[in-house]
Amino acid sequence: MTPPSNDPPKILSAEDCRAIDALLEAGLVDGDDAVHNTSESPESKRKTAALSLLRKLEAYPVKEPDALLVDATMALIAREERARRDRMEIHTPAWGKRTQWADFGAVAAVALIATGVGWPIAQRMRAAALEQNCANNLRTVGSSIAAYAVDHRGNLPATASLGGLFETPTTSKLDWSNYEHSGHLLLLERNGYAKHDSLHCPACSALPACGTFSFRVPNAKTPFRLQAMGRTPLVADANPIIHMRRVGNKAQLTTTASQCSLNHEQRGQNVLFADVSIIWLVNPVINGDNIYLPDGVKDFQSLPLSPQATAVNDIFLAQ
Amino acid sequence: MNNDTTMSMVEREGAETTDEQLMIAHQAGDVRAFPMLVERYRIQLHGYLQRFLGSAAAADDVFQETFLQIHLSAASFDVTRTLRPWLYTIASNKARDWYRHHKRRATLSLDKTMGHGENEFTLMDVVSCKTDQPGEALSAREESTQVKDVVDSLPELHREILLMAYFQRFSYQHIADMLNIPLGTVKSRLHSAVALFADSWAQSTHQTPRDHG
Repeated sequence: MTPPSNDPPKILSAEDCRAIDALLEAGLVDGDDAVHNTSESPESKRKTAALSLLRKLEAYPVKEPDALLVDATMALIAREERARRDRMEIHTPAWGKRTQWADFGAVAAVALIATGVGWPIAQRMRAAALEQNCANNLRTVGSSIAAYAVDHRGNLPATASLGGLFETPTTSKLDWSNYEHSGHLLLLERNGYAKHDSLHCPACSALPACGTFSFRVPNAKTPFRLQAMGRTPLVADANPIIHMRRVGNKAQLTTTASQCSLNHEQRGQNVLFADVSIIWLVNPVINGDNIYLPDGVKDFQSLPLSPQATAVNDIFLAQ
Repeated sequence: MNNDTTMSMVEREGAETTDEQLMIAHQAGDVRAFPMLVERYRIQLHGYLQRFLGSAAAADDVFQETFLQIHLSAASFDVTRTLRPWLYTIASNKARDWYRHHKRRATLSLDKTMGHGENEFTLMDVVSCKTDQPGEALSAREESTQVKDVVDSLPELHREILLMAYFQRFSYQHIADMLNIPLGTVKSRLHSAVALFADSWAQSTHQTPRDHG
């Protein structure tokens, strides 16, 4: 092979350049004719010379490609297509589907277990929070009662619209259905000592089935004053026995010995004492006295048809 | 064009089907169309690549890569345009890539000064050199070897444009479109290519043993 020359490359004359342009623009057709052109014009001679030189290119040795080149090309394309498909696919082994179902089952089992364990925990946490909210409301009620008592010579709230605390209920209020003892607490709201929301238990909003508070029922021989109550229950979650008596659901209350308030799904009840302390009782009995039953009454069946004045020292909280 | 029409055309008269119709058939999923296209350009494109790359083996590789690229890009081919310039553009790009990868030849910068004044010559001076005189003509084999040496020694870009213009008969405008360069650059580059070829040819023929013998 000829080594490259270090001399500056030569350039074509402008006439030769024009001759080449003319040949190329004509697709070398005119040039073919020019080879045999006998014209002695300088332009024709240049075309002839240019074409003669370019024709030497045809002497370049070219080996005819094998016919298998087409097959080889198509095979290359097929390989590339397969590779592309493989790259596009998500590789899963033959046992992939079974594994996926097993994985799905495992995930479902874990979810079930998590739900089975987590749900009760979440429910207990929610119930505890509601019990605390209920206690807070009762604390507000206690503070409101104390404030009311200060403003009313120590007397606890009692409204005459319910027939009076120490009077025999009127004929229309003889039965439990019309008895609304906790209505006395509405005086707190009416006189601005408490807001309406604080007079209810937030654990149960299905009023009047639950969610209300029960208020202490006085007896005729004991002054209904805060100081006279000592450290005894004053307000508590709604009395379940009176509620059942009203709706006539005897089946739900087969016994009355330890029925808890429906406010907290009978798990227990918050009780506000006269000293404004709050206690959560899982059994509504204090010193052998059920706070939801009047003195002498042992169970739901023997509950009197109408509320009666309780005995001295009897603790009875009614709705 | 209707695909069904094109496919039936491929079945009936494959040899007469245009390149563009074959591409439409290929796009439509006719598995016979693409091999037909490859076969159609087997000799022509392979020859171009052999002259460009100076090696039949290299031409084989680049030929296959070119059609693989055509296949992969078939969906983007504008069937309203002609296939051939697109095909040669891809082939030339692949060939240049092959060069860059193998770096077998030194390239000559196009910015290099191509000579002035006293270096200017005419093609008639070259073709009238004594090697073309009766009785002193090179044998076909010798000339073939000589041409290969000269062409292979040309810078890549000059060799490319010379082959496109002479063997493929592409117009200046086509070459400008394919190489994405201005028309004036195509002309000046081809002039330089012809000048280099002529100069190299003249030098090589003067150095033949026959000249010295």
